[in-house]
Amino acid sequence: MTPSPTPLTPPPAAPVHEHPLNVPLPYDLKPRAAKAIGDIRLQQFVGSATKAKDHGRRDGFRDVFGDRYDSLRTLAGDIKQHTLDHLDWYLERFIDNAARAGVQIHYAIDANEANAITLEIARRNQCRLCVKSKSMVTEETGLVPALEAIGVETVETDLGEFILQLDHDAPSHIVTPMIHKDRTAVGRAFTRELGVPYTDDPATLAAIARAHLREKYRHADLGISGANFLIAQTGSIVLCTNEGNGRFCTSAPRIHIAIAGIEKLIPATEHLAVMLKMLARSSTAQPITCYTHMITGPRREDEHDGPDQVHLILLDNGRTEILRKETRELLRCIRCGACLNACPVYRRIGGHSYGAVYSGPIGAAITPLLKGLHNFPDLPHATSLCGACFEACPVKIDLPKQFIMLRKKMVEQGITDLRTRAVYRLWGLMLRWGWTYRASSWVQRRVLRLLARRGDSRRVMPPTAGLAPPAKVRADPFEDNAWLSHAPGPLGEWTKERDFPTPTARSFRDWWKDRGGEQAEVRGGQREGNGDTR
Amino acid sequence: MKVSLFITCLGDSYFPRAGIATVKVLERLGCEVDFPAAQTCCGQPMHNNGFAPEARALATRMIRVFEMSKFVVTPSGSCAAMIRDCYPHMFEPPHNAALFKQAQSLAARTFEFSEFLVNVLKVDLAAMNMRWHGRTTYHYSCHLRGLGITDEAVRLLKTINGLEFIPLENAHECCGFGGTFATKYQQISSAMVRDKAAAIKASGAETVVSSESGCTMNIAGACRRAGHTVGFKSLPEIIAEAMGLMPFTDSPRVPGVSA
Amino acid sequence: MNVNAPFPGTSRGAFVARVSAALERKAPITPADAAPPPPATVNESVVRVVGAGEDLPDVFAKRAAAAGMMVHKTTGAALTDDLVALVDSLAAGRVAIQDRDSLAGVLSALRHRGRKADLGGTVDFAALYDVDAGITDVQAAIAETGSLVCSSGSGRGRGLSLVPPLHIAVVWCSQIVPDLVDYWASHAGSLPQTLPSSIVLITGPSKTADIEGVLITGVHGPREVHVMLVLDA
Repeated sequence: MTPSPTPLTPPPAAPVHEHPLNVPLPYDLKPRAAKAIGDIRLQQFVGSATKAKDHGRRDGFRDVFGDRYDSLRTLAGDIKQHTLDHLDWYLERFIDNAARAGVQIHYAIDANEANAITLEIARRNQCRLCVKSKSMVTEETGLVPALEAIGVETVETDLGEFILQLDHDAPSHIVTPMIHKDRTAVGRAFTRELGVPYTDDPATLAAIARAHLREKYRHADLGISGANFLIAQTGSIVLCTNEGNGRFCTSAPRIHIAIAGIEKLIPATEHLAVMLKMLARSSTAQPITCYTHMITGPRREDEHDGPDQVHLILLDNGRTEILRKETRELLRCIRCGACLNACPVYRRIGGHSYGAVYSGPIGAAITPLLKGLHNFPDLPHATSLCGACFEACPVKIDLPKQFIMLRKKMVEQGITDLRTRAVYRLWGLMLRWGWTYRASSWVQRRVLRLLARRGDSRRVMPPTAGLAPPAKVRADPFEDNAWLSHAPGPLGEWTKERDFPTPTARSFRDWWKDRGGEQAEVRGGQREGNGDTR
Repeated sequence: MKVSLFITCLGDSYFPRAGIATVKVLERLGCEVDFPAAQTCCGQPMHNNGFAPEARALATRMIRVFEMSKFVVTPSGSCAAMIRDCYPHMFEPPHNAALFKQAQSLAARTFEFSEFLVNVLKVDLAAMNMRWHGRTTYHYSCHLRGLGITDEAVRLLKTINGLEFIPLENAHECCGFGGTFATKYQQISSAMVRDKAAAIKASGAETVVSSESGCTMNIAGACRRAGHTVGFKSLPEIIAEAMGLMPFTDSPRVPGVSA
Repeated sequence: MNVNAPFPGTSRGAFVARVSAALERKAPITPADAAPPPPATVNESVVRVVGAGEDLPDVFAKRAAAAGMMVHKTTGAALTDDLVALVDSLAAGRVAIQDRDSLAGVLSALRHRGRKADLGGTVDFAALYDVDAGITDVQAAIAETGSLVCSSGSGRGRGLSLVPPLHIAVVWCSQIVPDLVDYWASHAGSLPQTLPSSIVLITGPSKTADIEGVLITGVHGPREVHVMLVLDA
């Protein structure tokens, strides 16, 4: 009969800091984006780090796989898609096999349940000190504050996350969480929180962290991890890391809790081989991470060490919504961060501008689905749809297509404002018939060219040094675009930082008509003489 | 070979010379070009911003306009991508089986200008002794990714004698146009186009080749605001000039000339 | 507190039923339901990097070195002496050695030289923090990536290749497989109840570049990994 445990007392209240991910809803991305764009240091850090990894990914795959890269991405995408298409079957198989391996499995529909289960496991085992390896899912559920609230000291052990925790900051990149922080900020945080003399030498800082964290590993009674993959065939949890903290968290304490989204499943070990070839190369341009750790249950009788208990919490938290056919491919994501590294928008606005745990292109797609489209109306729109993310994705998630689909949902659900809907509908009508098209083109030409003529004499900006008076006045009416530095209406946004061209004096249709193009109009598949279909 | 020209709404009003050049080059290469005047717009802005019914209405019109065309050629990669990638999906069951088939048919017949020359006409432009002169760079528009077009345009440019080709740094990075992204998220868009303009300046090129109307409006507008004197030409214009089909305009298109 | 009460959370059935609903199944899945068609074939011509015909020890040694591990070549006969010499050169005062017949001679040789050497099984995890070097065998080695495969099973554990700052792994040439596909295919028949609790592929010393992208080794795991490659076995 175990004695009743001493009640856990919560630690004294920590000072309240504004957490970068506590954003007012609906979230307006523009202020943070503007701040990030104006932050030269951030631009340099994030810009160079992401470019280096993006080029490294391309070079790495080209050097090893040559023109097989595309087929590899197709294969990896097909394996994940197949698993998702039959996710219930694979889940059942995984659960049975994990149970055979001795794992205790729990099922959490949402963040509250996941945290409640974790806290209960901690309570029953009288855990006091928890060491945690990097897990985006635990950020998603807000697990760390919940554990600390019941008096379990919880230490992030991934170096980047450890530093962010010390500095009351939040990750800004899926893989390299402190891409936005420099060494002096780290040095200051260490001095302030650990009481060590100030240093900003990375090797020294890492050594301080190593010593500090080893003390934690020594005394921790609970280890928490995420999972990169779950293997249905063997009931195994796979962790891919570089630092070794993941191995410590899952080996040193007597209780290990892994928390994983249901989309982490893959069918069998042979598929793990493919995923491993894709993951680290897409992420940090390495052939493979330092440690690929396959955990199949708690320590066996004949093993010297390892946890006595392994718990796995399977998490839904909105994933079954994304699992619906239209958005299902988003769950293929293996969290490599390649899309972040390729994205010209992410590169300029940084991870915190997304206002959520998951940033970059994948974050912009799944956050509205997980947290409500009406809460994050900017995310599907703050993209030029350039497709760099799709090109980089190791599992071929068609992110541009998903953004367009989310925008469509916003229109259908009335989240897109009335004015915008009216503008597009009107625009669509103007283009819909020959006569409306011709009339609106004519109006555009006349109005904008008139404004340009007037505008030039009213130009606020002084003539720029580089613009010498033209040697030849361009008279060709088919290439005489004039320019506006203050455009009307919504185009006014455009002209804040660049000029807007006007239509030319004459259009292509004019040229075709001049040429004797009447005949061609009839020949072009129309039955009416004037070439109009209504 | 009979070819129908798809000029695009922006091309028609803003960059007609690109369309004129396309016609002249295709005719020189032995094609019979027609222009179905009932064409308006492919519907890309509506589609990309989530206005599906409006986009479908425009796509329906386009499908009918080009029903009889054996080949449809356009100087704009994004409009070609719209027809090839998006039109079939727009009419997928349960929408309209007949239109679905027609959309697939149109998609199979639609080409962007450079891929038409290289992959369909399979012209050996090097044998045509084209002449041009000037330091030129190329902006790789994003929709070329979707079309699977890689370096057709650059290969074509390099066959032109006297054209000094300078690769653009980060040529593949988006210029920040993205349609209404440019106005809705002006600051992010401007940050992107500023870098593009700076890369162009650093390249020392006198002319930037881009066939994408949106990209050209965006980048030229940024260059003008920054005071970079550089000209913009579409690929068809360069080729038409190099073939002697259109006058070579030797001063760069200096922005700032009013009508 | 009733430790036998069920944990919070949802039941298995209700949880999986939500997945079935999202997949538009008419009813939740049962064991009687047919298995899905197999997933996409792992096409070797697409994924394989290293073939069986290549010089595997050579490829392995190169890739392991590229990953930051130090590779020392030896023979079966010279293994014990070379290991002792390596421990000497690393000035490792306290060593823990995996209990394997192949490494038996090493323990006594090291003790003979005055080093504090113990069998891994007699050193508990907590004591490993004070050990300078861990010597282990491997379950396999992978030429494609230069990886070591360390298992916790059959009387081993996890700590020797993790806690001490120096890790020395003994690899027999015959243990090298060409490619990741080969290693993971070897698990085709593996069962959850017979697998060890931990298998780790080790490819280099522990590293991070979290602080301004500066590469640092030995953050948590070993800062040096040495591979003793036995060429004639």
